Amino acid sequence: MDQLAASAYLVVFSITLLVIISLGLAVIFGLMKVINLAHGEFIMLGAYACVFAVDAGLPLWAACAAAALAVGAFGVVVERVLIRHLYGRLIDTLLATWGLSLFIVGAVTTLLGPAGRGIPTDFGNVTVGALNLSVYNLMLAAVAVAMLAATWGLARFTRFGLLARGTMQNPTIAGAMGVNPSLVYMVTFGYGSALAGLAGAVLVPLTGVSPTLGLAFVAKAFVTVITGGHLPLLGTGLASSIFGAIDGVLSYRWSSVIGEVGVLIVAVVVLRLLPSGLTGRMRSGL
Amino acid sequence: MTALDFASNAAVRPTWRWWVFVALSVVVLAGLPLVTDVSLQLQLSLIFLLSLLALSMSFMWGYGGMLSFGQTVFYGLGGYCYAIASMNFGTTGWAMLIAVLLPAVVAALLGYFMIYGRLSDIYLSVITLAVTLIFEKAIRATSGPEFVVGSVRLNGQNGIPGVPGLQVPWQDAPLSMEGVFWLTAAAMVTVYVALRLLLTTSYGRVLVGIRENEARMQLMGFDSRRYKLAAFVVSGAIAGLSGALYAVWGNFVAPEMFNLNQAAQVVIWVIVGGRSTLIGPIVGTGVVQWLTTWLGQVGVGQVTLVLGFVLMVFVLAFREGLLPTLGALGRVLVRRQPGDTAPPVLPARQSAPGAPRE
Amino acid sequence: MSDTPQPLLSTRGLEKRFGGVVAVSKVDFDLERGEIRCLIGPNGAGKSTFFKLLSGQIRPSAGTVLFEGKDLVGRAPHEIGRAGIGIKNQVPDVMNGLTVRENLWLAARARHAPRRADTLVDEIAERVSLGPILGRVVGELAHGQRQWVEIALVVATDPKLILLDEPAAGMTDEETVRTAELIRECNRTATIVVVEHDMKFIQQIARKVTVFHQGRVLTEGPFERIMADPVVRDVYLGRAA
Repeated sequence: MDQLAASAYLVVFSITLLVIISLGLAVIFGLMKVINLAHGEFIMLGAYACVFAVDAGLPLWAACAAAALAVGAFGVVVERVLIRHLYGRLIDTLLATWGLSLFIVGAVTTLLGPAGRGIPTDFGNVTVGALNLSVYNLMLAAVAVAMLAATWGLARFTRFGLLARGTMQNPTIAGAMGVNPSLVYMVTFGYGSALAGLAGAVLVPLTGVSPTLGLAFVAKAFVTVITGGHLPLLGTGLASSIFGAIDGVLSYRWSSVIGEVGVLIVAVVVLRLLPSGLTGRMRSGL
Repeated sequence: MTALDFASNAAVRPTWRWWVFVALSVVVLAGLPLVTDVSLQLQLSLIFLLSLLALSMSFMWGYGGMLSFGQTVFYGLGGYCYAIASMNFGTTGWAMLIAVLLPAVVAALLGYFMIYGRLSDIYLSVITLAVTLIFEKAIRATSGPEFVVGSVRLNGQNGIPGVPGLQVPWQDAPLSMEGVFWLTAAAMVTVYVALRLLLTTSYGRVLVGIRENEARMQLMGFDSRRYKLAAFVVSGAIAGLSGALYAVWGNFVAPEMFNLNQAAQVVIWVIVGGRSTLIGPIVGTGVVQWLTTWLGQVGVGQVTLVLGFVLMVFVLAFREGLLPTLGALGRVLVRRQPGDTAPPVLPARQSAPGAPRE
Repeated sequence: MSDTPQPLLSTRGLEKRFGGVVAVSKVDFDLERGEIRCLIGPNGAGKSTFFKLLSGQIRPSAGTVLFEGKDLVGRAPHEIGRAGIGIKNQVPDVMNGLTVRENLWLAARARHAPRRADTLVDEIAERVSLGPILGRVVGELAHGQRQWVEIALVVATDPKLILLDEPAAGMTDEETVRTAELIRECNRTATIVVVEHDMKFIQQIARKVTVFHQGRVLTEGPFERIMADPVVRDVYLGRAA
């Protein structure tokens, strides 16, 4: 029974982690069909921003918000300078964002040095049955849910969300109806970047930060989003749940490496069977 | 034909000028060790064997139309196969053979899985990326003493040191640095010539046709999957050879051969040199490697920074790479004669998943 | 006990729905060997969708498509090509980065050995009058010329059935006349289905015409009768229900 609880906890934690690191990438991919390989570096920048904000005296929650805003703004700049020129050119976008990722890692290493940093957390633990659970991990689950809910709320209930969804379904018609797709893309990319920044900030107490932090996350996020298919919320939610479950169970039974490899293998198989991802064939929905 | 017609990517029959170029290159390469010091030979040998990796990618990408991030998988496999086989069996010749065949077999399996699954271009790229990650993670996790193949420990993070150099029948000792130089140069020239000639065969011409317009070729009755799979396997074999040569060159193999950084470098070599030619990637490898080494002497973070910047600039501005851009420039400057048949290159189309059908 | 030969191409109950919209509705269609059949109808009548169903480019929601008695539905594109069906869609779809000669060579190679393909290229070029532009890169040709290159590609594979979607689209009057000649010439060896709008063009090639309206076959018959039919005219002018 305890084993079940322990592995269930690991599963929930894995799913949480995947949702947090993938949602930003999913929003951008779902709306703009852009695969931002620099996503990991956006997460890293968010982590650094959070560390600096905490150093400057901000409480953790404010530091996270600041990090999200900062990286969101950075995302807008990237979209204007780089991504905008490559619409429709999927492979080129992949390559250019890969270049961006290398560039950011190089720049950060040069400016801040290769050593890592962390911030202290003392949220403590809570005991449930025979399990010793970290409070922070539980808070992260809440954050993941909040991110999903916020994105859903924005898409469903705001005017911008409506414009964005229309553009996602049919950019040409949306344009003909007076929506400026360019503006929609810019804001969307900014929002997705902000989510990435938030992810980095929120995970700093767990993982610390170093210039190469992005590398650890980009692969998982990438695979989750692509397997999820083109609907950002449903796809990421489904894919995260499946992969989180697999990772959690395999990590518990064997090791985290087996868990990661298992996830990658399953992703490859899923894509082979459903070439457009889990939600690839769904016409409507989020 | 302009002087730069070797920079063409269509299946054009090579002219006598091209053969002269090849012959001259062979002469120059053969003579180089006599006028250079060992450290330069070391550097150049590395560039030669890495250019094989670049060639394998550009063959698949520029001619086969598939962008695979998985070339480093076969590169790493080739290196590790050579290391394991030569250290287990003691003979290096067979090890070389296995190092080329095993990656080819893996390429056949992976390629079948992806190509016969009718995966669109972008998902093919993603899956090859995922496979690269799988291999790197898997190899890195083999630190424990239980991970042995025969008598050779895989050693996880640290890689396998002490890989024997290539033994040759005409001398007792394994190949010297000079010998390795000639070996890698010969491999590079042979593969380059072989690929160039392959493109003039029926298979090569059909492959280029598929790259140009797969749908139309299918409607005409070609089973494009077979041609693409063959290209994937050939590329895998060449990448495996590259890895084996690396093992011979450095007497060492490590998980870094599988990693994302290595994969990124290959992409950059090909993009800088020009993916739509065969000579381009060779030049690109040389230029970028030289740049990387020079930068490495200057500072730590700078290399990645510059590589990233270069990649972005090239994707935005010089999509076709250095050589074709220079070639196009050359054609503008050097007036073309009437009756020229060297076709200019139009960039291959990129497909978008879910793009609305007109 | 009928002695009539089996139709070359036929559909039974063919239907295609896109979401709630029925583009093609329970169409039964027969095509005899040696015909040139034109599919006409106002915009949105379903003829392009029907064309794509015939050529296997989209899958039907219901019904069958039989070619020489064998079911075509679900077959891979290269199998359809090999079965002897040549397809030309509206937008020129050729190997733009290659020369006309190379394009034709590839088409010839699809059915013949490389050496035979070498000689065939010139024969095809002769037949379609592409001789002077053999060395040009297709992407640089004018629209009409690219259409002919594609027709040549289709013809070069010796198909039994040729499906053409608006082959004269975007052409000048002289080009249209030449295209019509080409089609009549191809008809010597192949059965042809053409989707078209241009009445003058249809006049030059058609014998039998099938009229589509709102996803169904409205009527079918010889060209002159169809053109004189007041119901057909009403449909085109939007007066019919």
